[in-house]
Amino acid sequence: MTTQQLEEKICLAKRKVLDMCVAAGKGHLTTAYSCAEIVAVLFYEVMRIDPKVPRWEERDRFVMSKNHGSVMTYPILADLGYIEEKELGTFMRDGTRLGGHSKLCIPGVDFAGGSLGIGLGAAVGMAYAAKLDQKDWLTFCLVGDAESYEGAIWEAAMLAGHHKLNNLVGILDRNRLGVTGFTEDILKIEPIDKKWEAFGWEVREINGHDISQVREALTDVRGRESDKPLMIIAQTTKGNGIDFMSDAPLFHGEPPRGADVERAYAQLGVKES
Amino acid sequence: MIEHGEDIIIVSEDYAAPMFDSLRVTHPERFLGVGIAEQNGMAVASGLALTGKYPIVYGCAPFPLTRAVDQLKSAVAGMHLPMTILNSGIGFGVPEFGATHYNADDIAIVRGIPGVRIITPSDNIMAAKLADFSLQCKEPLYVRFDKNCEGELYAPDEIDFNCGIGVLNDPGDRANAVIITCGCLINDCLNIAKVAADGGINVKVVDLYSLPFDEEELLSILGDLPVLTVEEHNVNGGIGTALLELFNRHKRKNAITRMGIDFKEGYPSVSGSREYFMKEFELTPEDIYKELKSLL
Repeated sequence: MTTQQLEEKICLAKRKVLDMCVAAGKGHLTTAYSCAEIVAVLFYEVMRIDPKVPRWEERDRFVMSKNHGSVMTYPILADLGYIEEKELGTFMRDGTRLGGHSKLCIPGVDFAGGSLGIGLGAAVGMAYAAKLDQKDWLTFCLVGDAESYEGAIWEAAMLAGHHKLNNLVGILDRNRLGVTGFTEDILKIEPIDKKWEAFGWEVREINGHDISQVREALTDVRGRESDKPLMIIAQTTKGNGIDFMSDAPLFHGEPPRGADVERAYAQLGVKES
Repeated sequence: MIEHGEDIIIVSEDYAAPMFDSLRVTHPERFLGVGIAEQNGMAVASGLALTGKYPIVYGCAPFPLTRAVDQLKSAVAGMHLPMTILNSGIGFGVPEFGATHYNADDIAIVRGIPGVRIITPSDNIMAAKLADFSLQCKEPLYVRFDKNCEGELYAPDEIDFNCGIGVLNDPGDRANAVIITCGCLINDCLNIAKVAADGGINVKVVDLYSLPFDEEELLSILGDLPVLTVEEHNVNGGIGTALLELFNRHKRKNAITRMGIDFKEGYPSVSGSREYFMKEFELTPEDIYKELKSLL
């Protein structure tokens, strides 16, 4: 896939996320936008998956630990054929599979999240199982930076480092925001790279919105020389692409409303569908 | 079972148990030590189960459960993952170490999480049969091992974990009361039934070893007899409460007295033996017999 093609897919997916959140009047849009490029590169280019066989045993696993961002995966799952496009219109409506947090009933979803701090532990379990069975599939886990306040993240980090699970790839969505403010004001997270290194992980740092850097960081994950699990710290912006929602704590879990809807569509460079 | 090729992983929370310690040597790859990290133990187990492994999570009671309730709810019950969470010790557990080590609220906690079966093995036969049942079961199991349980109460074909009810003393039509209990208190209650029979009180003794249980079966066993529930668990939220709920749902008017640990003055600040606390909380055989007589 060319860079332009991927950019167009990301733009379209972000517009659909906006459609879904505006229609529902709720949803973690800003959290989704901070990881849009990461999720897209994983699903379109990096992960070994087969949308025709969602439970294919040899597939790579994806654990959305910061699961409130899972709305970002829905349009991509639809584009890949896991679910039908029209189902996106059911987002957060009564009886839908597409809730604010993804569940196992959705084809293409490997972990049901919602409670923060648990996904990385589950990913460690998956990666350990793959090692035990001498399987070559990888486990990817997207962790939020404010999620990293959860102690269980570090329990899992320690275990992965101890067992040298180099088939585990973590990506830290470092959008610098929690719900009420910036992480460094709420409770300092930095130096986050040193923390992961101290727990026995190889650490890479990228701009999470630069497709070329996301690709570069993930290019050698299959057959990496290091015996350590890999943590990619992706510097991102919450609400990236819409200026009045970027780095804006008040927009956590809130879609734009009123006149802001048009402003948001205008800034995405596409018209409301 | 591992020798027979079962895809089991022991998730150990740094707690010694003879039955698993040998595995650590013979099958180190099947023994995943997560350290004293109960939340991660449960989360890792969910990941293992998602790949088709059968995890057995175990540690020092009550912590595999109480330190990881959200993981049990969200990552295990929420995804309907078959596994076993094993707590060694129920009720007062090791009370010399204080209230931190009581496991006296676990039924109340787990009953509030849909889709998790609670099993209290009452003898060695049941423990052995549980091993086979766990691998066939499609739901997560929370197992309360009472180290004080000894001997053999059942024949293997008498145990049905989906039914969950064992009638261990049945005077038939002569019965004029029922004691419902579980764990090692069964032996006390069987002895009480013998003494009571000499005094003209004929007691059915029911072992409620699996929850949820077969409600129709239990109602049939109880008839309209008065019921005494006895448990080494908080008197609120345990099997006595389950019986009250059962009677309420079915509009039954059986007289019922619930005996259990009544923390009405909070957790004790003193330490002591299990025997000391059973006496303090009026759960000795003498106390049970006294309640049985007053129920009638």
